[in-house]
Amino acid sequence: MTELEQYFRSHAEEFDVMEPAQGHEDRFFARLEEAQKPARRPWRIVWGSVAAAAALSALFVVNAMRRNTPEAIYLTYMDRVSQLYSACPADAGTDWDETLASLTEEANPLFLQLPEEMSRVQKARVLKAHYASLLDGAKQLADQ
Amino acid sequence: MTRQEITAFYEQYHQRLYNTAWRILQNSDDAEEVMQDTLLKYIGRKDPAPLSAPQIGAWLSRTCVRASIDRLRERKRRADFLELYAVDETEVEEGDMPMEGIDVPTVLKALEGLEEPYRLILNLVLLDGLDYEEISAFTGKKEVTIRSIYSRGRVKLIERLRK
Repeated sequence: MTELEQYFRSHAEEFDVMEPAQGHEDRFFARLEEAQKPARRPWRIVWGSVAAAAALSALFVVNAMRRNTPEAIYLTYMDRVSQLYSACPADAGTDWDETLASLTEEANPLFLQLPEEMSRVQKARVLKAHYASLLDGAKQLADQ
Repeated sequence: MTRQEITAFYEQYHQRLYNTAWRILQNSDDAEEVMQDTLLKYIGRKDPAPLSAPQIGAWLSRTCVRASIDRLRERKRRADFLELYAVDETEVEEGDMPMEGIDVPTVLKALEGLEEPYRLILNLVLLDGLDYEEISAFTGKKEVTIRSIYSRGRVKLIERLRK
């Protein structure tokens, strides 16, 4: 470890100089109370809406494919995953979140791994199949 | 957790997490939201095994870093984020300097004055204690790229401190 690194390690807490804006604790407890309220809809209905949203995955990916760029497909996939997280009820705990994360998150996204030699059309085709498959996995989770 | 326990828990961890998020996001509202998301996520977790204090700190830190990077990526949109990491991956000579007598505000100012992505990666390594492998997993970039950014950033930081 260099002297520079040692310096940061031994002074780490002194670097935490920023404070959240006034009222942050009140805002936190307001959010906590909101999170602890029971879900407004019964589980099955919530799961049903998640399932319905997930069932649209192929359509979303096809729409992205119409724009015909690997970036559009990947961004559409990211948006779809964000929507699935949003559909999770507040009292679902972390299990659902974590399972969805393990189904949909990639340590090294395929989007970044495709070789340069591939054409953009080929990349779009591969990404479409790959991300539709991941979204189908999320649909299986929602159908449980 | 009782309300009293939650208050103590919030008091214990909020500033550290807020600073972690702020260093990545450079925005107070976003940093507060990520900090609170992280604490709410911990409070809401239903894992059967209790965690020790160091494990709780590590869990919160990793969750906060991950959420901050996700938000940064979302904010910058994907293309900009990738461009941010498009740097030369050739090795640079490892640098160091005597740190005795240099105060924290001076170092902080030099660190915050670095351009991206050096500022972000140095913060993650030096202050949040992440290794290259973890940063690679969070950002989706190769370890060699992260290592290169870190090495170059450290040289730049030392240059600033010598001025």
